[in-house]
Amino acid sequence: MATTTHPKVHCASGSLTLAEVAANTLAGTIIVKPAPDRTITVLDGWLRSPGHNAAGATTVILTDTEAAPTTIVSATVGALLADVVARFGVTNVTFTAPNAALTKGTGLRIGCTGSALTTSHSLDYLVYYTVTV
Amino acid sequence: MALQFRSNRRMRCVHGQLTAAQVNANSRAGTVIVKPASGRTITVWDGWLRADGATSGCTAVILTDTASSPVTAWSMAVGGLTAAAIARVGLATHSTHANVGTPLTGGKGLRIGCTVGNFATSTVLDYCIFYTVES
Repeated sequence: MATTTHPKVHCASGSLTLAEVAANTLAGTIIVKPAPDRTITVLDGWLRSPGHNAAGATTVILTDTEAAPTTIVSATVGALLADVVARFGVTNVTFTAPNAALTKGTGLRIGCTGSALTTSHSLDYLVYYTVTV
Repeated sequence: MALQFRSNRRMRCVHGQLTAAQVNANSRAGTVIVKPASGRTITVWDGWLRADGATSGCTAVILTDTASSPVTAWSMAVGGLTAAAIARVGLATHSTHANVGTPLTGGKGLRIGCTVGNFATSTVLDYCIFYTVES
């Protein structure tokens, strides 16, 4: 079970507009494109609502890009306070099945549930993951 | 040794799950998660542990190198390993991380074990360790 390959860590980071988070009927916007034969495992990360507390939505979610997406992280808007880095796994930022390999060929997207995200100017994100072939 | 800042190092990550028996193996020295490699020196930078239950039995879960007199890179006191919660490097009160950011013993790997008593109540331990490797 011990590794000798020293797997590389990849990182998706950036900032989404509120429209991008709410795009595609709240499914959101792709932050890591799907690639055939590649398998992503999300390791860690954080979300941040710059400037203002998040509101409007029920949760902000990190999902895969499958037609019936798997939710990897679900953050209640109450956890997204102004400028606070909300790490995956802290209270109200549920990190479901960390270390679990996603469906082969799927990507990552950030969206929301309930209704559109409001009040925030944008949503900053950082997601660490590995890719295996 | 003080933190050593160099540019362009690629971050690596080892992640997986150990059973309680694997954490307690080898008289609690634990199980190797990164094999030793001659001429390579590992530095641990970050990471997290996650037990599936309210952990008991041991004093701490430890991440060490594989030297015969192992250096502990990071330890998490059992009180920080509550059911299904992610316990990160730096967790208040429970995390001891003086050697995070310090090169470990050259040519050695990494292992996860525990101290004083056996890792109990929880049946598995998820881990995710970020590290760099230098020649």
